[in-house]
Amino acid sequence: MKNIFSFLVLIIAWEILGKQVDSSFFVSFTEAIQSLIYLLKEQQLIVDIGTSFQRIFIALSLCFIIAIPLGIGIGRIKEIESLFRPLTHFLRYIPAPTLIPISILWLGIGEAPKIFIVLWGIFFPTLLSIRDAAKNIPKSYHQVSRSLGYTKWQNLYHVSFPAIAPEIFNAFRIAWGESWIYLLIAELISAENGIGKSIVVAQRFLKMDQIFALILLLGIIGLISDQSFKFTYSKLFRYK
Amino acid sequence: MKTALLKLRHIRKSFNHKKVLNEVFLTIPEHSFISIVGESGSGKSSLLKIINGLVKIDSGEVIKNMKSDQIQFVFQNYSLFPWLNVKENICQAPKIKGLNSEKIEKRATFILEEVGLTEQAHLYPNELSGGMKQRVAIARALMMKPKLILMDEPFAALDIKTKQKLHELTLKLFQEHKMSIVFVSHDISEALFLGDKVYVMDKKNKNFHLPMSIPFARPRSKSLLRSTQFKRIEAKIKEKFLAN
Repeated sequence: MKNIFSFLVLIIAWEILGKQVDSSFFVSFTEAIQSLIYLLKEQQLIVDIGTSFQRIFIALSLCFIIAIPLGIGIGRIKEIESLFRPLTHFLRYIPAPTLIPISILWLGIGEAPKIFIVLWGIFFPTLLSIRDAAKNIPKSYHQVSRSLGYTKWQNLYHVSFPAIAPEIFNAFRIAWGESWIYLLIAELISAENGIGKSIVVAQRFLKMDQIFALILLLGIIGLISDQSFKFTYSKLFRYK
Repeated sequence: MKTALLKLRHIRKSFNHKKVLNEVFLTIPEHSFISIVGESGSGKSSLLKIINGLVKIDSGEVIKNMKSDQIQFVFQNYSLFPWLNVKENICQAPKIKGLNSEKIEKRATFILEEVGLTEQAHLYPNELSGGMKQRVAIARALMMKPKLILMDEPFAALDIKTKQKLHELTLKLFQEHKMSIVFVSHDISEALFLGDKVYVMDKKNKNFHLPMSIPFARPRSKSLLRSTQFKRIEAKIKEKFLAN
């Protein structure tokens, strides 16, 4: 109930402010909603949403395919940790947006540079979360597993992986949110389509209602996905 | 004459140049209950881990007359896998080892009944009390048909009433499953009540004082704790314990 109340306050304040301010700078909530409905009826926004989701899906998949085994390896095996630690710490401090020019030069203007920017932005925090989770698996789990006669692979699959599954899920949840930031940066700078590109187009034609409609859309996507993550987490990890 | 399941000879172990065990000898016969008492840091837990192969020795010999998965460990902190429910926790190892699922199911039902957890089979560890968690840990060990169970202060974190119930359960299971148990504790009364032989760790020399054979017949009941003979032996062990 409190959650709904805070939304109501925001919507009412937005609506009142929108009616007071010049519409070339700010629009009311109802105008933003109307514009969003209009954009959704026009097929282009649906295509843009689909494109952005596709880029995020590919970047997230690549990120987790690499980060899960590497994170567990760095967290559990000292040799792998000492091999990758200095490199990881060097690379993770290079902000993704600074790589946009290079990524365009190297990867062209297609999908690859956008996916690369998102991947770069989310990869290192994800890797470090998984590494920490793997490092913090209680020692007693491994002792039990050895006592029960599990091989290293059986321990990895039946003990280590399920032990860090909640942390992997949380890392995914965070990476999902972060990936939208990097995707929009990449799409704002260079893209043929996508939600970021739609914002740039709206800005170019001074369509303030569309800009706010798209910002609202991003908020709605964020809210729905966050609630879905929360629900899925409670179902998957009910033992937590 | 019972055959020896396991023999430790001349065991030496140091951690970070600090000697923990020195010239330790121990023989564990078939179907015997050995209690080891000693203060914290006297090397009791390390000894169990050496028996189980979790810790490597510096020198000496560990002679085992059984397969390594016939030695099972019950830890003080239960160490149940929180993502598995009670039944899954106890069935995981036999399933991984590819044993017949029907047989696993039958044995799990039997063992859960034995430890009094039939109704809790589908609960997760975070829904259980400390006593119940330890029952699950014991059941998990029993699923592997062990010849030897190593118990590392398994009831130290439990209240007296739960502890007593688990003492009775342990004795019952010891009789029914005919396995051996090495039980580590710092509670002399508990070690004496359960064991056939009590070893006291000699902290100064990093090995055992001479072991004490316990003359009480089995099955044992709580009333034994109040007998004069029990109290006399308890005082003797306490004397050795305090001589450290």
